[in-house]
Amino acid sequence: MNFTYAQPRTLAELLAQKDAQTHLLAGGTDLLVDTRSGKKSVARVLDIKAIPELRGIRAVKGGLQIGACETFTHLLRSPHLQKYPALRECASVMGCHEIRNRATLGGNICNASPGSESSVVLSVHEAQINIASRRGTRRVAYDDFTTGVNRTCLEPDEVVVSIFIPSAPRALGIYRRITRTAGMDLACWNGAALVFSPNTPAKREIRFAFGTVMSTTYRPRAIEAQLSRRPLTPADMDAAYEAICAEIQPRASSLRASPDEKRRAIRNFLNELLALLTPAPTRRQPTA
Amino acid sequence: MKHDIQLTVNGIPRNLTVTADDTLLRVLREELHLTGAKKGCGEGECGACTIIMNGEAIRACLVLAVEANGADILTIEGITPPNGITRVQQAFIEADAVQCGFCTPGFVMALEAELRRNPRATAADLRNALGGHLCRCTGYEAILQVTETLATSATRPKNTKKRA
Repeated sequence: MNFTYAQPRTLAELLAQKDAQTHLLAGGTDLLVDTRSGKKSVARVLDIKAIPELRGIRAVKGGLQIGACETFTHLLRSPHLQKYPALRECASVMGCHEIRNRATLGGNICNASPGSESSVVLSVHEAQINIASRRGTRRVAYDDFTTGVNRTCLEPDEVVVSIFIPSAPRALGIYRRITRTAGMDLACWNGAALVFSPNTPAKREIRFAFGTVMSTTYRPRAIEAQLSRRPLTPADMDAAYEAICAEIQPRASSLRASPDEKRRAIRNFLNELLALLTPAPTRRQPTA
Repeated sequence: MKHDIQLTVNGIPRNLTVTADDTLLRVLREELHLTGAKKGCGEGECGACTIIMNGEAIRACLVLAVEANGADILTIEGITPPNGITRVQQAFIEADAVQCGFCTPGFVMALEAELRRNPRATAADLRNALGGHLCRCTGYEAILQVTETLATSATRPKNTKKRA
C-alpha cells in the first residue's frame, strides 16, 4: 500500500477534491483489504467519515434517509429501522460485530459486491441513491446504480451522499441468505421480499430480489406481476420458479455457492413466501 | 506522506508521526509495543486484532493509524483495574478457555466492549459479539461457557447476594 491520505471536513471540500485518482474511505472494511491484496491500486484516499452531510438516519417525507457514512451498527440502533424489517435483518447479519461498527451503507453499495447484504433489500424497497458532484446533484434508482460486479454508475467526480428508502407501511418484509458459517461471511446467496397488502390477495403487490445469481441484483418484475393481485397456489410458485430459473445465470465458477445451491435457495424462498401469504388452514402440510 | 496524529491509548495521550498507509495495529504493536492485539489474517476475518476505539470493538488491522487521530483507544493492556483482572478475564480463567492464547485478547476485547456498552447483555448478545472471532485450538466449547457465565453474572441483580 502506498497512497496519500486527506480528510475533508465538508461535502463541498470533498467534491472539490474528488476525481478519478481518489478513492473514498468510509469504513475501510473492503478498501483496505482490496488495497493490501493488490485487487485495487489506490493513489489517494479521501477519508469521508468527518463530513456531517454524509451522516444521519432521518424519517423524511415518504420514507427514510440514511447518510452514506452511517454504519450498520448505527442502523441497527436506530428506532426508525423497526418499520423496515428486511433492512434491519440484513444489517444484523452483515459481517460481524466489529465489521458492522465500521462498515457503512454507502460503502456497501459502492463496493457493489453481487452478494452484498443490502443490495436485495434496497432493490425491493426501490431505494433512491442521492449523488452529488461539483456539477450538481442527481437521484438514481438503486437498480440502475449498480451496473456490474464491483461497478456502479458513479462518474469519477461523483459521490453518494445518502440513500432514500421509501416507506412500506404494513408491508411484509423478509431477508434471507445462505452462508458457509453463521458468524462472518459474505452471503453465498441472498434474497429479499417486500409484499404490500399481504393479507388481501386482490390488492397484494409482491416484490422480490435475489443476489449472486446475476452480475447485479436480480429483480424479476414480470414474474412479480404474475404473482400479484390474486390468491396464490403452489402451482403459481412452481411456475414462478421455472421462469426464474430460465432467466438467472449463476456462475459455475462462483466462489460462493454452486448454481444448484442457489436454485434450491430460491425454491425454499418461494415456498416460505407462499406459506407466509397463504391463510393458515390451506397451507401445505409437510409430507411425513 | 507523513501525518502527525494525537490519540489516547489506555488513558495515555500519545503524539505520533505515521505514514498514510500505516495500520493502527502496526502502530500499536511496533511503535507502542502493545503486542496484546495480534495480527492473524490481516484482512478482518479472524478477530485476533480486536481493540476498542471510541467505545466500539473494531479490527485494528482494518483501521489506518491516521483514521485514529483524536480517538480514544483501549487495548487489552489497558482494561485491567489496578490490582486485579476484569470479569471477562476471570471467566476465561475459570472456564479454562485458553489454549495457545493467540486469539484470546481478541475474544476478551469483544466481550469487554459488549459488556461495557450493555452491562445486562444476554448470553445470545455475547455470542453474537463473538460472531467474527476464530480460535484454532479450544474448539469454542469453553469460550461459549464464558458467555454463559458472564450473562448469568450480568443479569443477577447486585443486591441479592446470599446472606448466611
